[in-house]
Amino acid sequence: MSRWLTTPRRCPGLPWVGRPIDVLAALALLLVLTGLTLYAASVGSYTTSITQLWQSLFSAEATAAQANVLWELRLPRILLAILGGAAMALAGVLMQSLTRNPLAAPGLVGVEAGASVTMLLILVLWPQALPLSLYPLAALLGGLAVALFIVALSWRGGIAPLRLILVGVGLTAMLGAVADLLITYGNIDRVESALMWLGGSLHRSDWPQVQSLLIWLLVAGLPLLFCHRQLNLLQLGEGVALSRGLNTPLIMLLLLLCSVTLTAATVANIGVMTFVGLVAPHLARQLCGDRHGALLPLSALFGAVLVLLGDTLGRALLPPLQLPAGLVVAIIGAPYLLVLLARQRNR
Amino acid sequence: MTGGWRWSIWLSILVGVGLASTLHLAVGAKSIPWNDVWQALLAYDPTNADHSVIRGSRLPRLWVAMVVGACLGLAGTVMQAVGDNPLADPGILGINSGAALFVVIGLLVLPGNDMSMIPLFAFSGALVAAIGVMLLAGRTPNPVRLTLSGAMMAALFGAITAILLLLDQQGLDSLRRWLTGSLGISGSNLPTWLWPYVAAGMLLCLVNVRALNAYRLGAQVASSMGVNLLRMRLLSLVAVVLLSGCAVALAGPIGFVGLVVPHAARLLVGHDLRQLLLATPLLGGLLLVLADVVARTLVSPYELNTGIVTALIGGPVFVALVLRKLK
Amino acid sequence: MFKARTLPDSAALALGWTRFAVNPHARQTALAPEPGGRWRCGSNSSVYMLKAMGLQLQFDGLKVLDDISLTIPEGCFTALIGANGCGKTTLLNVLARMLRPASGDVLLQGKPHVQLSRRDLARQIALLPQRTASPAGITVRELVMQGRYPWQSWWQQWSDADQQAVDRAVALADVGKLLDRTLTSLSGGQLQRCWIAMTLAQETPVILLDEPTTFLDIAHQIALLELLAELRDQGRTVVAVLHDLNQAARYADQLVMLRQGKVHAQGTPAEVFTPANLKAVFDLDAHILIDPHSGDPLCVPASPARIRELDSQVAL
Repeated sequence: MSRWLTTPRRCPGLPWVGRPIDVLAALALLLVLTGLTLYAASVGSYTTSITQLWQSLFSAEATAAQANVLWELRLPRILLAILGGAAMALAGVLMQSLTRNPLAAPGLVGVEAGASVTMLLILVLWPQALPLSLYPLAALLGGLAVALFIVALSWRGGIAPLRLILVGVGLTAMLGAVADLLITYGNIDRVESALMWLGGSLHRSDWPQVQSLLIWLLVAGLPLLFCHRQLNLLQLGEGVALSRGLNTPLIMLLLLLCSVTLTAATVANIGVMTFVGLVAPHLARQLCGDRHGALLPLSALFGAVLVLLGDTLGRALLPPLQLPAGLVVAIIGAPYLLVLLARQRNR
Repeated sequence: MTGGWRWSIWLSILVGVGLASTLHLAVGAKSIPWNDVWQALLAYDPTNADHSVIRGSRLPRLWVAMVVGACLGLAGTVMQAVGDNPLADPGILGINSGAALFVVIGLLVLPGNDMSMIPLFAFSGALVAAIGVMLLAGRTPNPVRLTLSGAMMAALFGAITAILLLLDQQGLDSLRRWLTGSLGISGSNLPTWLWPYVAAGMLLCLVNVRALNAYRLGAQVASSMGVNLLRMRLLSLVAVVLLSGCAVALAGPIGFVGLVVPHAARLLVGHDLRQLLLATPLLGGLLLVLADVVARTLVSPYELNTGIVTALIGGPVFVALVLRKLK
Repeated sequence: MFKARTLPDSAALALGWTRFAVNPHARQTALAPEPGGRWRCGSNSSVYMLKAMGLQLQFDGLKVLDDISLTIPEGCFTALIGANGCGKTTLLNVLARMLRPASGDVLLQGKPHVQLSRRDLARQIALLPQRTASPAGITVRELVMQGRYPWQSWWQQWSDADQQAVDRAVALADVGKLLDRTLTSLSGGQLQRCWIAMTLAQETPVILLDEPTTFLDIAHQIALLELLAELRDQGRTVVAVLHDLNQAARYADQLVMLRQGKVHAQGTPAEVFTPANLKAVFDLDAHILIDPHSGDPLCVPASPARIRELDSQVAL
């Protein structure tokens, strides 16, 4: 039975192969996500029961207050958590597969540091300079600029994973110092809100942000699901990939751009959530190894579950204090990751 | 350079340290002329306001800078030697973050201003971080994996620290400054508590010198020459924990000093660890004193935090090192 | 005679035909049987698969390839030998278009191979590099399946032709029993056979191998070389970098000796495997014997210490 589940096969007539066990895992995760969504929609400082939820969603009998809580507060927050988690997880898978290093996080190429510094500059120094709606775009551009700078600096006829990682670490530390500078010398109120934002917090979610993140996810994330064969081939070594006909430098650059875009979009709309991009791919790898056909969707699902869980816990644990989702995910995910990597260390 | 002592280099290092120290004492929110500085040191006059500034606030700060710089430089040298990794540094590998986290816990947990237990918190934090990084990085000396493990540990500790600070809003302001590496905020009795630990850390380094030198040839060769690898690693671990823990307890987490100083020292005195272990404390103190001078004068009359200055200088140096060494 | 080449690729594959199997040029012009009954390539073959002309390449100011010109005849087994650092791997990489030479051309069946798209080139030439990465959790079956990459596209990711090619490759490399094992659980010899199977699944007329025998023990080395000879018998062109001189002299139809980035000698082992060449290329004093069973040349390094010992015994 287990052999049947783990052998790649295809439905007769369709030109794709896959393993039945991966399909089952994806369905199971979808179920978990749905359950978690329902739970998250009902929990909070204004508890609603499932029937009230149903009424607000589908019938006209709900009270205005209930509908408001659901539609204006919780639903955008939940959707943003799901989309952000999926985007960060995809970015993490890409980064780990491109550098062939299980410890690579999406923030490696400085996107998060760049976006953070940009946001801090704006929030702390020139709060009136830009309208609120343009903040995410500014953070996006800042993150992209830093990432492109790091890629250009470490370019050597293509992306050299080793140089990329180390240059990224150095420049991220430097940008961290600049961020520290702004945090230390800024007005404390603005700094506090900036710190909350930097911790990966969904407390300001609204529908335009959901829209913007959805668009970026479709643009940069959906094509990834079709690149799994290329990613599989890259894992065998660049020499092997080149001689099988893969245009390695171009593909690596495009995938890196996708990863950077996804990270920048998430940071711009939600804040920094490094650990999701580190932990979700590892969780998915426990189920399906390095088969990217399954790894990409499963990571996205795991990422969505993690962030939603983190956000819900952050809201529910110590009301009325809201712990940022990114920090909660870090605390939950990191010990698991440490144990996992420590066991693999002799590889 | 095999074993010869280039006296000119050592002399210039010592002279550099002396000049930098005098500069440090002279500049600040109020610039004090050089001969006044000398007089304050040699012929102290309690009624002179300048002299009391020098003796009272700047001299202690100079000592702290020198000690912190020396500790971080030494810790970096030992880490780079034992890990066989030219990119090791207590800041990059998350050890500083771990120590800082535990110090924050200590400050939140301990009542009052009892500073004597703070170093112990710092040591335990550094130890936990070091063990975590070693577990993650594995047996084979892979610089990338080590660096990334350290970055992950640093991120983890940073996240926990951030949460703790969110939970305790009052502590936020004063701890914030300390967390970016500040030489100005350290109780005046803290250095007294720390001398034994600093001395112990340096002594351990000295004891380990011959073993570390032999280890440069590789683990198997060293072991066949009679080096006890386990003892060497253990002693180095304890030394690094003590030294970086003291540095963090004194001045908060300051990064990149442990990275840059050993490389600069290697350029000046070569790779022999006996000379390196003597040169790095001096150069570390020099670097930190100069960084502190910059921090205090760049945006005068405000003061930048020294940790920020070292990161702003050290970051590009790190990147330049990577680009040059990794072809 | 119906040539498969005139059919579109997909149709030919769907019919289970492969290019080289009905290649009209194989076994006719370039080959002539040796006295022992084995097919051998003639050194004056005018039909060549790959031809390198005037290749130059420098790394960090060091000339790695210095005006190299050589021909790889079709349907033959060519072995590249030479001392460490003489440019063998670089030459192989240039032939497979993984590296660009500073000057010079490589012609694939008469056309410069830079004109082909990457995918078309991958359908003609397959390279197995010396070091490969083994990702976690991948089974042997999935590894071999990935060799079909050049024949697939977005919408056509798996077809019957792909399945048949994989089955053929698995049978040829004899890895049928290992299909469901993960790569990390295999021994060195088994792993190398799986990588060979993946290369075979690519179904290319030309196969380039960079030191395929390095990490194998002697029995596996011989088994691998026998497999390469069988591929050659099927009409494929095989080029391999080998480090064991005797194995190269025995199995290769054409031997190319490289020295410091130049071609020192090129021809059949009988012509090229001489003490003078061995001394020039490897700085080795050796005698050449002829294997009494197969007629292949065999080199035996001279040992001055041993000769002195024997002389002193004789003198007594």
